[in-house]
Amino acid sequence: MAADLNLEWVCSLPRSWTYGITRGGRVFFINEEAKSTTWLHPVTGEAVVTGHRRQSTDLPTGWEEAYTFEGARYYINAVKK
Amino acid sequence: MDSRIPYDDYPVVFLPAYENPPAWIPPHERVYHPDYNNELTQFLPRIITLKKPPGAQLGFNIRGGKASQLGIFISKVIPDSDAHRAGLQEGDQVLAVNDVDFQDIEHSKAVEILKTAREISMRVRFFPYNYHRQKERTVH
Repeated sequence: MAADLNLEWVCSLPRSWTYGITRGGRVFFINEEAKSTTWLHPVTGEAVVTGHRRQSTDLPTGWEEAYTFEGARYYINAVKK
Repeated sequence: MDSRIPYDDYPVVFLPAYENPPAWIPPHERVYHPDYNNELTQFLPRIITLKKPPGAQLGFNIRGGKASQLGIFISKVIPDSDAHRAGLQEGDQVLAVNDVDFQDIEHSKAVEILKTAREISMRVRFFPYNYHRQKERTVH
């Protein structure tokens, strides 16, 4: 599932983690210890909503629903490509 | 019974490439990096309140809607208008107006609500990522 942008939630991170904001307004999370980044919040496993449609029934953690330009629905798994 | 899936009947569609998050860089380099030196606060939702006398212009234009699947966005703000003074800007996504959800609304319905309201309480957030994607989408 994807989460709405919320300051308190974005900042509630474990030790050695911080967050960044891209120039376009997407939130990502930074593991300073592992020197890696991810779209998923390290505690909840959720990505911040990028504006893709949200289901009335939540998708599994880490997934978002999106549409192609042709209108076909597809799903993004932010855990792996 | 032939159980073969008639693939020929399915439309060909193209998936956008998966976008990786920005790569990790050392903290001292982040000050100058456009994907690291942004403040979260500018992207948080905020409320814009406008009073609109009968016959008055909105002071801004919108684009998008249900058809684009990306939401309603402010595409232009008239300089020196009430909307401009209230802090509305191009690239703001309109999340709700007077408690009506705008995240999955038809464009025409959104226009109707905005034009007929006398007082507008608008929940917006600055989200250029999807605003620019939507502009690309309407060109295709």
